[in-house]
Amino acid sequence: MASSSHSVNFEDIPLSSFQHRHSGSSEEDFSPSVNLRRAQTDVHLRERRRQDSDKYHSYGGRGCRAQQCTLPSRCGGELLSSHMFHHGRECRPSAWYNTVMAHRRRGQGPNTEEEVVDEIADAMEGDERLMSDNVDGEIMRREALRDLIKPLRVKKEIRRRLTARRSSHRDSLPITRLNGLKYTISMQWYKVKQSSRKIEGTFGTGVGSYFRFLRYLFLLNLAIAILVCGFLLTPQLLVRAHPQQPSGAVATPSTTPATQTLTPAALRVEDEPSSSNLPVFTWSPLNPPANIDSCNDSLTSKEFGGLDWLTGAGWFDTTELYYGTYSSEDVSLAAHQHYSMPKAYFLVIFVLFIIYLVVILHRVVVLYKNNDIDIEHDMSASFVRKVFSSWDFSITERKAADIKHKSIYSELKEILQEYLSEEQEEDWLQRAKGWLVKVVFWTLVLAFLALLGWATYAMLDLDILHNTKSSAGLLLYPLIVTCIILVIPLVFTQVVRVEGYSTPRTRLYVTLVRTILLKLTVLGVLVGTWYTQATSVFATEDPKEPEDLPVLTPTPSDPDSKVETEKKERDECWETSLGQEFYRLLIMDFIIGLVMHLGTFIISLISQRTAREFNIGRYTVHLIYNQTLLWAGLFFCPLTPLIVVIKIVIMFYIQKFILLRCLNPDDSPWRAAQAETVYLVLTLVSLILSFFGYLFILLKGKTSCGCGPFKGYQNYVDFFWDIIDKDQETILTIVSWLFKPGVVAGILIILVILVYCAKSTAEGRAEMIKVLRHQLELELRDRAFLLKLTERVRQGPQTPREPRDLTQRSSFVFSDSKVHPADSSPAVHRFSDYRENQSMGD
Amino acid sequence: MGQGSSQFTEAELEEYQELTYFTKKEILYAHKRFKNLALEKVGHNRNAKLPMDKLLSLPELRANPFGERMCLIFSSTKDGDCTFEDFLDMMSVFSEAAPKSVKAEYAFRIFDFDGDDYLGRSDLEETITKLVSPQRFSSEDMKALVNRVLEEADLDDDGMLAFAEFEHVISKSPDFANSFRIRL
Repeated sequence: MASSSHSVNFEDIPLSSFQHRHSGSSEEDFSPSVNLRRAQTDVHLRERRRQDSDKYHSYGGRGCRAQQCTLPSRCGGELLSSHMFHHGRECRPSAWYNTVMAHRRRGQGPNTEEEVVDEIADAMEGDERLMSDNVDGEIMRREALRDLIKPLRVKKEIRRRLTARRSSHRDSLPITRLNGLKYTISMQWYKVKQSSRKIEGTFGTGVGSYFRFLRYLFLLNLAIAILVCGFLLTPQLLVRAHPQQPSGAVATPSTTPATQTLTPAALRVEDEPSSSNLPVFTWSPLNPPANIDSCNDSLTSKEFGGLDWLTGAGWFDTTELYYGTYSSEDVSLAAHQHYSMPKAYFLVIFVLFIIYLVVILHRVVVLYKNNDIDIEHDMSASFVRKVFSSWDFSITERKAADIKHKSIYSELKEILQEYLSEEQEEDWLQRAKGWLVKVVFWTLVLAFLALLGWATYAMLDLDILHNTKSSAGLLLYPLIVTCIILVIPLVFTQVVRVEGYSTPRTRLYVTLVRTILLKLTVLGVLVGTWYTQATSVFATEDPKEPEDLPVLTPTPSDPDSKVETEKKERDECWETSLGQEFYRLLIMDFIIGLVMHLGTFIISLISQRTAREFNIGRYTVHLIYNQTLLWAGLFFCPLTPLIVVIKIVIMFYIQKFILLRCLNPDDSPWRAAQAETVYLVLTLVSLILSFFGYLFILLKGKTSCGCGPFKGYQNYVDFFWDIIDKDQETILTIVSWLFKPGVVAGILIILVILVYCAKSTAEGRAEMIKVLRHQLELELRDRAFLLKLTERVRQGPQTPREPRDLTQRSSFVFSDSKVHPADSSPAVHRFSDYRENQSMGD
Repeated sequence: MGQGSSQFTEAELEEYQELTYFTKKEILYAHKRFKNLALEKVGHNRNAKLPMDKLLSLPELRANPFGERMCLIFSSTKDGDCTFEDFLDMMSVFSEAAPKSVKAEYAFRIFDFDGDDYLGRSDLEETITKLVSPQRFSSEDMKALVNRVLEEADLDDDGMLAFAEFEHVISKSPDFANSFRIRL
């Protein structure tokens, strides 16, 4: 801490520009400590002006442009600051940083750019860890340089120094032809990837985040679709193309009474008329299989009708779109290799769910870590937040910027009003009234949802819908359901305005929760009813004799029964009919979406005034609904990922077009960071719910034993028993080992310990954060207190030396740049407080 | 062989990549955009200095109320004129990969209009004025707003925000890193 105090230039002391001080000093009343600080600054300034008027400056403010301005580097610690905290693993300052700081503390701060380079480069060279020759050193060097808050030119110079020291020669060849090509190509790809940039530029980060979410789902579903095609569709097509010769008995389930063989099938090439979600080559057997399971009886009889695209029935029954078509055979790949379709079917669906679960969970965790972690419910900084981070730097359009200006204005106005009105306390009566209103509305909404669920149920039970023989009748209630799902959220958004929630964000979340509840109710009732209806047919009959179909139970899940026999057969395959329902819902949703977009487009063409806004919330919920349909239908209609992928692609372009063409940015505030997490969590919930649905079906459900990969089993569980039976030895040993009390207890104990450890570390860290925060504030208060103390001393008998060091930038993060009085000076010894502070600081 | 790539050597690209938060292709892309601002000038000398109004014709900066400030801060001559390196520096700070602390540092400089290393009342007022630009707050509203901001963020009660206070308060705002970003 030896410091030559008199002659040294404290270059690192930040100075206010002199002119500004004068212009700003009349503005308002500062606390005494500030006045003191300003006085000190002025004193300091005067002295410095005498020394060398050119040396102090600030980085490019108004006042500085007139002066000769040099570097932004003249300031001390804070300009190198990021080295301190942003490396998660290493929170303490590195050695070279300390060297620089020590250097500056001694007052030997750099004046010119060259000196800055010298200083930092020397310090870095002195740091052994940084300059070590291994990979770690290399990485550290890179990060240290990159995070240096200096202009690129300085960084470059420092880097040259360091590398010159390390390896004297670097090749300076021009880019080779090959590399150049590579860069050009990857640059093009980069541009493609940034295709949502224009949207973001015009509509801000909020809408951008919606499109990113869309793209995320697209990529996820695409990967899943490829998996499905690879592991389910291809083998299935192979089975159809080269049906097993009787050797298939190897894997035929033991419960099936006879060996099942598919008779040779012929290739029928369908020229797909429009954008197709089906393989171009579809197989349909020529001869109906002579089997007791007459599942494929009527397959050939079905002609491809135009409406089949919408209903998903008819011709599609025979395709790989649905569960029912998948074979229960083995594909023999090589001489002794078999690919068991039932196992594959089960495994693929299972694995897909696990993949979805892991990927989405991972994403949620990442987002949560980045965005939500310690700002939940921290409303103490709402004004600061609005002022400092409300401008969206990605905006590129004038119009969008204007809207943003306006929305920031109204937001600021709003929270200001809110704050001012908060001053007068609400009495409890009013508050109780507010609560009452909310409770009443919630009850109303829940009652309405219950009613809606019942209505859906009743609608499914109505015979009118099922008696219509045409395929249009099939489309009726998907249409109704989709309309309900699209219209009622609009009502919710209106209702929530009446309820008097204070912030727009709460309003958004309340609407969101209600909308999701609505969708889950409707979907739950639909699927539940279909399932019970389909299986109740089964429950009453003997699966071995599908002929005597009871008439007393209407078969509502099967409205398009053309022929009585077909009806029977379809009932056997309730999975297929369920799959069709999901297909119809997806398609209907798509069509109505298209119609709505078209409507928006036409309206915007007719009336020039485009008043509509892009409501991100509604669109996102819709996307989640889509995804839920996918999950719920995955088992019954394995090609749903493919359908959804195509749908998403088309929707993406349509929405992008409509958005850029006819819509205005939403001027309501959008907290992209948190909302994204919330949406993903909702997606996760719907995923988990459908997972449990499947679990239930798997454990309790009955298969339709006439079709599908699990043909011949009565229950899904039987399939597992079968597998276990076949491979009794190994599986039994594994299972019995797994279920040994010791093992179970061991696993449980380990889990408990892990959870406990994780939880306690999390709690500990939260506590630590709180303590540190508090400490930060205390330190600042200390500073203010010390300043006051010095003021008192100054007013005392002796006029002390200029306490120039006190004018340093307050930087409670760095103890280095804190108050460090020149301890050799006689004046300091009079401040006993100073010395205490100093010893604390070190 | 791309036009943009011919102006650099492999080593230079490597260097830029190490010193910024960009990959090589992003650097080349950035240069392309920089070049498009003044084709001839930059085509001639890849590190040519462009005047501020040229830079402000970039849509990202044009629509931005702080565009001018950004130029001033990143300009190595402090007059708002930027060379390609300055431009790259700017884009790197605003890129997605740049850590929050680096962003916070530059945000602080942007909001620090008078350049005294503190966000004083006048800085805050100017920031707010720029934010709501065509609209204006009445002087009482403005005063109340500034008071509120200081109340929330000014920990040492000196009537202005030091960088540390600024960073402290920014850490509470998860949207900051999201909004303080320019997609090249």
